[in-house]
Amino acid sequence: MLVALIAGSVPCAAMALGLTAVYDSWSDDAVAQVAIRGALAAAVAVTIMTGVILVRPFWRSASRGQLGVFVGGAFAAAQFAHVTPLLVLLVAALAGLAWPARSPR
Amino acid sequence: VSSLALYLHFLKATATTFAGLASLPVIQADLVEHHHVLTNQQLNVSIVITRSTPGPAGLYVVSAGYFVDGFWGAVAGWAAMTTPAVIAVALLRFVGRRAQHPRATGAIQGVVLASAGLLWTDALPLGRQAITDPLLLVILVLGVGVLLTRRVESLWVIVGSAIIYLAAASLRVVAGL
Repeated sequence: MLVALIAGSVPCAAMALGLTAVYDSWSDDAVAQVAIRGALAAAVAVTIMTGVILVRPFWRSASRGQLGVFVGGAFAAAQFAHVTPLLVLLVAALAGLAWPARSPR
Repeated sequence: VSSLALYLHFLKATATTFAGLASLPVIQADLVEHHHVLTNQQLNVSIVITRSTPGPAGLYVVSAGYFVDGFWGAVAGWAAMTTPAVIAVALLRFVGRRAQHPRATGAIQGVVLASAGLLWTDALPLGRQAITDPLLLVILVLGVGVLLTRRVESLWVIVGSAIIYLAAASLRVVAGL
């Protein structure tokens, strides 16, 4: 199982490595840079949507209060109080331990 | 930052979060804001690259590692990505059914939900860096809309956005060519 886990991730990692090296070599190409600017805007959309994907399974199982406290609290703590992400995650784990939501269906 | 230190930085991020891109805020805080060995643009490019290839979203640490320390940085990223999974598999043998205890799942849920909030915090500097003209803002809004309402792979949104922006540049709607 462990060998499968490691071996399974190698081809994808190699592909990502190859593409990163290609991107690096295209850093002076004007056409590639313009295309990448468009792609970067989409990457921000992907980042925003990843947050939605993380919340979606808990949309029904967690109460609105829990969603507000965990998601909104983490956002506010990092954005306005400049609390480090690691500390935010640690506090969230402890809070989740004390205040568990129902399992998502 | 040496490859070993890089591995430990990545591991800190991947071991404390439970989903692919959820490790992004920790890596951004560590490598972009604290150590200044990676830029927001490179982090954003890492997301573009890994969403353009098959495999887990967490693979972006391989690209980010490459930007910091070349080939060995990428290896450090890959190792940090797989280490938590290897440990989790080994741990499950011992923990077994206790992992399904409501308090254990509650702790995980807390971390996952907080990760969403942190990711949206992270989207702000990435967006500030990437959205430099009105068309890019339109692409961002359209991208969110499409991903929210249609079952479309993020790869196609990224490719489509690149083509739209390239077409706009060649028509002189935006600068660049």
